[in-house]
Amino acid sequence: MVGRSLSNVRENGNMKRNNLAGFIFISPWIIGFLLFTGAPVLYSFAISAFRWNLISSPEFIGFDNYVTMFHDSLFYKSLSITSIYTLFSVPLQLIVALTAALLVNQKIRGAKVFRTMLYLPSIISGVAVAMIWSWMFNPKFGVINQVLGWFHINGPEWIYNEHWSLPSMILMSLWSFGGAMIVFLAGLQDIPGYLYEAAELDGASRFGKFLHVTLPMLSPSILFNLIMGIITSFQVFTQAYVMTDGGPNNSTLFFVMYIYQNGFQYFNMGYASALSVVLFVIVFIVTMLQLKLSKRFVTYDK
Amino acid sequence: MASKTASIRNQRIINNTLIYAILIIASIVAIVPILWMLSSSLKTGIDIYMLPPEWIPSKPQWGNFHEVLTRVPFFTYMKNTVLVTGLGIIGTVLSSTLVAYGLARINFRGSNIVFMLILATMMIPPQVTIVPQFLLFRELGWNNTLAPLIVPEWFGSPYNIFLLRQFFVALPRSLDEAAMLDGLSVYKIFWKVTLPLSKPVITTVSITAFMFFWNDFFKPLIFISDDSIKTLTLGILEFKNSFNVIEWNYLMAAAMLMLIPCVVLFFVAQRYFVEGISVSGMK
Amino acid sequence: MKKVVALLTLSTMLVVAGCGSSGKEEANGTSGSGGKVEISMSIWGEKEIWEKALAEFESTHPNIKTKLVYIPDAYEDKLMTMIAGGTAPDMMTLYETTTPDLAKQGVIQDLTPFIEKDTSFDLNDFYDNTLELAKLDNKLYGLNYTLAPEVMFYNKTLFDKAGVKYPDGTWTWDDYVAAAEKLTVKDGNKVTQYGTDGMTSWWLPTEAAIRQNGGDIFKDGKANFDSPEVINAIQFWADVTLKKGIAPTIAEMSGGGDLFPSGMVAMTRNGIWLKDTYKDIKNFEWDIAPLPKNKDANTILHSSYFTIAKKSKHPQETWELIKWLSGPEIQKGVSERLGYVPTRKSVLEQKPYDSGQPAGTAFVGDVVNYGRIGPYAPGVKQITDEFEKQLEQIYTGKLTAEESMKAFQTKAQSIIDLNNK
Repeated sequence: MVGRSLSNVRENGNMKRNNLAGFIFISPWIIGFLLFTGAPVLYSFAISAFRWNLISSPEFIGFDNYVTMFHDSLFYKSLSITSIYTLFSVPLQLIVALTAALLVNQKIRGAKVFRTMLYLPSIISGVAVAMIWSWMFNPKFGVINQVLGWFHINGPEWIYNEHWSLPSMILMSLWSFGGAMIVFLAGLQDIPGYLYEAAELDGASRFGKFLHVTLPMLSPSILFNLIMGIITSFQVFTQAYVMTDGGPNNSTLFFVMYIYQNGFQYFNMGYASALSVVLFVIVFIVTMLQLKLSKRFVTYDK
Repeated sequence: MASKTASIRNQRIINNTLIYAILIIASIVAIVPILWMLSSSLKTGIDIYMLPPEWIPSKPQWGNFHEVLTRVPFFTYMKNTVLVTGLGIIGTVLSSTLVAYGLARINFRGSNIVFMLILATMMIPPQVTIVPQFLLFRELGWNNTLAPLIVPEWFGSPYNIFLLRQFFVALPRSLDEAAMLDGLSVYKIFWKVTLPLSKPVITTVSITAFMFFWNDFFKPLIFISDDSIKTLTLGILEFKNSFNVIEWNYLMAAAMLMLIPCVVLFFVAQRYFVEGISVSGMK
Repeated sequence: MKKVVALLTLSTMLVVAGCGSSGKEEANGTSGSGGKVEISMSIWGEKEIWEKALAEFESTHPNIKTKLVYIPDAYEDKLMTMIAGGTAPDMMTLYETTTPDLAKQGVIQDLTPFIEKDTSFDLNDFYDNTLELAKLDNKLYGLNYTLAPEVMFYNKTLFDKAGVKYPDGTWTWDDYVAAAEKLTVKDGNKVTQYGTDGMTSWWLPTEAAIRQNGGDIFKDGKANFDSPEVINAIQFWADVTLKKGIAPTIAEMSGGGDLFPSGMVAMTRNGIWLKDTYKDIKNFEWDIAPLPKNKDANTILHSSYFTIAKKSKHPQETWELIKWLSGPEIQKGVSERLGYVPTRKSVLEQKPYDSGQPAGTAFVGDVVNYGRIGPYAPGVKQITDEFEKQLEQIYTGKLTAEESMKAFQTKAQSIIDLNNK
């Protein structure tokens, strides 16, 4: 996507530069960025040098919050929880979405109905999803263990057991694959038929066609879904807040949840800000990696 | 020869059966949670803890919905949510369109850097900036009003800017050039030429924005405390009250009520949900 | 170097901004039209009780308009966010244990001047010891309207079936466990009916057990988690679940899946407020009894204090509201409706809690003689948040009470020291 944007800008070189008009058009974003992103990030950095509960007066403590952080086992735990969630949830969701898109894209009767059914969960989000799933995950009265019981399987305690809680949340994230499926579907429908015909002439098998035509042609969609997936999993909050409150035994203490807890449960604003600064740095690095990645691996049809 | 066609046909039948089997199972998995929610929402607070659970409640408690609507000021929450969603969509779509147009169609110094920055800010979770924002809104006296949920979105949202920009980039250049020859300014071109062509993508972006505002939870959680300005996401949680007693039947009923507008919108504008992404030129 | 300078500049800006802001913040009270004063109050619990109480208050105080800030879930977090955000309600209902810390931070104001001026108010009518956490340096920061004791709920139908005698108020922990063993039903290895519920990670019921064992989590303002009374009490109830297998695990009970209404546990210990939820139970008979005792008879009296925000613009009107809400009519009404114990002697004498719904409500008033409100030490909220995480570890068998509490003692004491600074 980024590669394409650059080439477009170059193509437009024949247009006269129009700095003022450009600036006017993008000015809303510049103001918003300065007010609600740029300044807050800098301000977070400043607050992180204080001990402050927002009620009493702030106390300057230099880099103490960062020193505390590097000795804080929950800091490392929450980092690894967010990482593990991302590492599993994003690829799994991509695989499920791609499989679903390939199936729905077949010329079969009722494909549209299936598409609608599979997409339906994606129109529900946030608190409602968290509510439905925490009730479904109920070890005794929940539907999941009921169904497992039909097959004489003693279901686990899901989100109420510290070993199962994170896998439960990953499982739950797979339910809403509809958005990614649609992106893949659009990508699939844009692959020109002659590419497949050419591959067939070369004697490619079904799998060969998938590997050499479908996958490369889908690479922009894959990258897009990958980036959106990473963004979403970095922001997982509602589920953790509503379903487990970060527990049991901090097993679902996602990094942003830990920021929230320090900020708005313990009113440790300095520490919360220090955590924010670290997250900001991580996000910055991941973004840079993504930009690099997109330049190297993505095939464009142009 | 005949046997070969037959075997191909058999192969196809097997394939199709397999595809149907997978799709049917997948659809059931997708739908069951919603049915389970509906079923639970129609039980009494005691029946909900019965084993084995009834899938179809023998005495459906339609009164649960009445209880949800009356125990909490549900319509007030609904009104607030509609207000936030409405003002939010207008603001974010308008501003995002402006910004995206500027980036896609106007050649100006620094546009690349700005676009990169916008992509980068898409990654920043709202929790990163929440503490300073909380202080900012305290200074402005906006805490415990709806403004913090709406106003920051009036300056363009990165995701929407991105989608719109992809669309604008794909529009043929010749349109602008022709309009320019007619003596139209860039602003007029934007308003009179580009916008009318952009209805599908604007609809798609509006739907994305609708889903965002309707389901926004984190910001209301931080900024809203008065009943009179609560949104639905907070309202639902009222049935998960303190002392570890959760009234699942009412919770499920409240969640159902919250979903209805989304489901209606989905079936009315299905095209834009499931085709929107290709309309926007995003692949 | 540049970065250091930038940091310092930003820090200065921050301090300046911080100081500048403190003057501007306002509490929520805004003057309404027609000379009416508007005050707001925050509370959790039974909403309609408060709506009704406020309506009555408005009709008897025509110059005051009230606004209810009702927060049913995560009350304390939300309220703290409001305080920090400069939108604190005029009248804040506070958890009893966190009231002293908020008084020290200057969030709430002393009620003594209002009480002294007000000839129609008699502080002596209140049970003095239930106000202990509202007192600080000879000042009184809050008044309470009710005490909700922890009690035992038991399923009479299951008791009859198992031929176990009903609890008579003299039960010890051993009597309780013996009954629970008889009331546990197994189908092979699978327990189909538990004798009792298990302890959850909520710290107050555990604190009740600790007190019954002659201990407390705080002693003379210091952490006391590693004392034998605390450790043994926690381990005793952990073993009831983990070793004896007569109580469900935390995981089996969580998610609000209260097992008592389903008839899957024969006894449960919880706040008396569950009476109101259980009144809809139709498939068995049930009743309430006092908690079992060990070294001492004890229970937790859940309470809360009505307080006035320091930044309230209308403290006098807010005082009128507090006086009304802790007054005899409200106390009597709440007690009749929910079975809570009034904090006014004059109301308690009328035994409004003894509704006979269920049959055994007569003992409830006695709790003021042996029960106590929650414990306090500086930083109590943070300590108990962490304590609950330890309890979860113990009640799921990951750590023994001794391992956990010996290590936790140091941490708890460090939080107290930090808050004493």
